[in-house]
Amino acid sequence: MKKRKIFTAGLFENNAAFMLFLGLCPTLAVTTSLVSAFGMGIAVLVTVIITNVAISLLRKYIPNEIRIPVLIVIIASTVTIIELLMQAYMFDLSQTLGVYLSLIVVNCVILGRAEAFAMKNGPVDSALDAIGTGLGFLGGLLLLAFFRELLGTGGFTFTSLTTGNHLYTLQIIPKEYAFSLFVDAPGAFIMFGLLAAGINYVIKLHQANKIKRAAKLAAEGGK
Amino acid sequence: MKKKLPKMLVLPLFLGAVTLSAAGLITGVHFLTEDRIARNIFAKQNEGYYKILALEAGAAIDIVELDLHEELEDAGVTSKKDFRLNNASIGVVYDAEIRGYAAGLKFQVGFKEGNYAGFNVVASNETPTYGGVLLDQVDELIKGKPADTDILLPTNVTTGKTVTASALTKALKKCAADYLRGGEAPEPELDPYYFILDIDAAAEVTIVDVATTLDLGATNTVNFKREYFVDEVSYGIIYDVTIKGYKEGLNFQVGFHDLKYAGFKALNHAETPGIGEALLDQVHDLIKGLDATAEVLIPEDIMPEVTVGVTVTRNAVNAALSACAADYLAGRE
Repeated sequence: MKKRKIFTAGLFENNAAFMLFLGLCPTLAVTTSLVSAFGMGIAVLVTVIITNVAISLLRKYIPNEIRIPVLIVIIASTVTIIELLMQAYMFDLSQTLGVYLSLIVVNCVILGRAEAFAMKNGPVDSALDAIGTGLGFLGGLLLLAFFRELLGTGGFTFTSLTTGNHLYTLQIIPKEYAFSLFVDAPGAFIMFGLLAAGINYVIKLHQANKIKRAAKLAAEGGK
Repeated sequence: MKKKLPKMLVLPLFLGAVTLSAAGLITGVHFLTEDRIARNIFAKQNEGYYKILALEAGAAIDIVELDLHEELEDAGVTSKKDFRLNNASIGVVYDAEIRGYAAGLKFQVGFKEGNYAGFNVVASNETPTYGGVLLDQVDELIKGKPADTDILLPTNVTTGKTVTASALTKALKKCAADYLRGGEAPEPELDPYYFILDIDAAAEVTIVDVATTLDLGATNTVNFKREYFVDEVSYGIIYDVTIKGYKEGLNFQVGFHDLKYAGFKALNHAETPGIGEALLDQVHDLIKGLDATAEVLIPEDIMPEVTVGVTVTRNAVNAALSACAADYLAGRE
């Protein structure tokens, strides 16, 4: 598979959040603000890169019978290390993400890519796949958080990832017109459903156009 | 030809090696980050003191570490500090660590001028959209309220939020009680029979064990049945019972005297504050003076609006009370 294709697959057509519907628990839970979505997205991105590369390097030595426990141990220790580093250097963000940070261990995106890709491909391809998948997941979180925070609070509040100090508030819609449902759990499902429908519609439209163009080309004699 | 090790050995050895390497890595990172995490928590605590007591940054405050008595330590309080300005106390802040739905909920609660001064979370592993939401509300809910207010945090029957709210409510109440007592250790409580049978606190009581064959079913037990005498006059009989209400381990005592219910006291339970606990708080007043033959003890219209858990507790307590009453009456015949 071409390197570019490996990278872009996770970004768009196999986007973990909106196309494969993987890792939905943190997707719905931490997207109440852009900052926490960004923090979680980065944590997942770093985890998937480290685990994909490590598993790809070890894949020839991992006995098939115990591959799942081995993958889990690698993923769990990576997540624990990232959690410790976040508590040391991004304490407030680690508190904001709470238990969802530890729950990256059971995020299907990570185990899914380890099992489906890293166990079968070399470290470079696995790294590219991880970066594409991680960025796709991060993009999905940011997209969902953008609409939830905007509609739920009327704007965006930016805080420092390292100190948690308030940096800037951008109020776009007056607070009294904000619809707080969108920062609550039901709003997360509603917004996720709307975005998933919209994204799938655009992709289907794009694919239909592609087929139409191919059919047109074929009708014109394959020119 | 080299002999291969059997898979039965290779597989666990490989998994063991991976696990050991992972543990080594984590230990290394733990050593590297330990100090910094402790500093972060310390900084967050200091920030909390200023926020709770609304102190100005750089104010010349003396902080006096106060002693903790056993009750506070049992409630999870790790330190208690008196903040003084010009030798006058401007507030007391308790640092505590309890287990809510998840372990490691570190918080601070402060008091000044007889009121709750504020609440601050130092670290928590609560689920952000459940327990985390609750923690965000606590400061607003308690700030400025008198320290003797019966604090009730919002619960949600189906989630861990209730567990966190219950644990936190208990800890806050213990801190408030200590603050109101001025830090004195609580006076030892009188035995419950003084309250249930309305016996004078100074009276010398003779207690006689009474044999009973009362069987309350598989999940419930009768711990004892005793008769209480003051100057050889019987003040009544008490049953000590442990049953399963909405939660396991609801231990209470019910007393009978002159063929009537004399009183009730819940001793240990894990019922939810504001729900099952609120129901138990009403039982004594509801049954005191009722005939031991009474059929309706805790009526269904008591707390009808709350959740199914309270119904479970009500039914379990009613059944146990009626069984005790029947046994008491049989013993009097």
